[in-house]
Amino acid sequence: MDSSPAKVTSTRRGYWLSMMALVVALPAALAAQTWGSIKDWRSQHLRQPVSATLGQPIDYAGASWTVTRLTRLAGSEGSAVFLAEFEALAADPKALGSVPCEVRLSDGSGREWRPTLFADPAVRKQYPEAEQRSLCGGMAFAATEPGKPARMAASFSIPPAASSLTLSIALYSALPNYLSVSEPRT
Amino acid sequence: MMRMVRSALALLFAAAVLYAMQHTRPLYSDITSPIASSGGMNKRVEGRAFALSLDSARVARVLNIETFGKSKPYTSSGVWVVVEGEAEAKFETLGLTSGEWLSGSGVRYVLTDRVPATIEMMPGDVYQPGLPRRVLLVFEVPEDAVAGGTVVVARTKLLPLDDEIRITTDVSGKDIEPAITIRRSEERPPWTVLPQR
Repeated sequence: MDSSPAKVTSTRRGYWLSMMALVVALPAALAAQTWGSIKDWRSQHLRQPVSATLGQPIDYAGASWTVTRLTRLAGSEGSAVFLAEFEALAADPKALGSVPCEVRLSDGSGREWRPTLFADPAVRKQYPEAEQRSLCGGMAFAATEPGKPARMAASFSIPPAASSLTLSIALYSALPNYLSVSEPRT
Repeated sequence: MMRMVRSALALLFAAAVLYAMQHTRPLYSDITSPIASSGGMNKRVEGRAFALSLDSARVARVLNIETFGKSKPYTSSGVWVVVEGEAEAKFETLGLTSGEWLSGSGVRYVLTDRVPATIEMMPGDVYQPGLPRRVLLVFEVPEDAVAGGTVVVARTKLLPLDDEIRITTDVSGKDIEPAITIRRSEERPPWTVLPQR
């Protein structure tokens, strides 16, 4: 067995080089393996707001969006109803209709509400036209002709004390960007 | 000679360590089991995503379901456990789709599917942050599974490491009513449990 100092130094160098390569290769292999999951996580959790103002059109996801009205109503059982009405003017409404759309309402303390499946009786009574509108997504765009805006509405059941409310509209094709409109302060 | 003995001892020690690790390793279901928050009746138990309190747990031999003016009796070879309480989402709108009765001996019973959908039980509702809602859970269990039973509620059975709230009930198994009626109501909550206590 050759145990000359030169051979020992070379073996030692090889050992340390291998160890360093392992430190780099192991995380790299893990990252490559989980890249798909990281991308999925990013698309679901990292979002970039595109701020809009009530009543002002803004381009988002290939359409011109306008949040036309944000209304608070007294709901049933001590709750409040937040009604959001918005519209989108798209060159090709059918194409936009195939993209999943998510509407949320959040407040200053980080709570988040999803639209209710059925509108509160207060909406039915005071805003029957809004109650007839579809929620954001396929149905709303399918019934729209090119050149005409798709009118949509979302109704939320919230505690009356909820404040600093922000409406968010996210089309999956435009993520991580989403449309964000804050309730005007009175 | 000493070197060989030392090597053999090291090998035996490694084998013993591996054997111990193999036999004490937790099951996958244990590692991913829900994170439980526990409490008793009439107390608000806080999970990470939702809070739950139970204020009534009653046991009966016959369950009458009264909807739209018609009453239908449901008999059982066991007994009916009717539990009422209040649930509230904390940060986001959610559903509570999993409700179980955990008997004192560790047997789990899921919510009954015999109660018609016209009676809105806990999984049929949506819970909004900041808006507590009444919940109704009905279980059909053997009589010996009643005493010391625990109600276990989770968003779903499928999410690993999710919230689970466990509330130990105060039913003894001796106070069994002959019949309980659940009447559909048009107001909130959309049911009434009779006779009222």
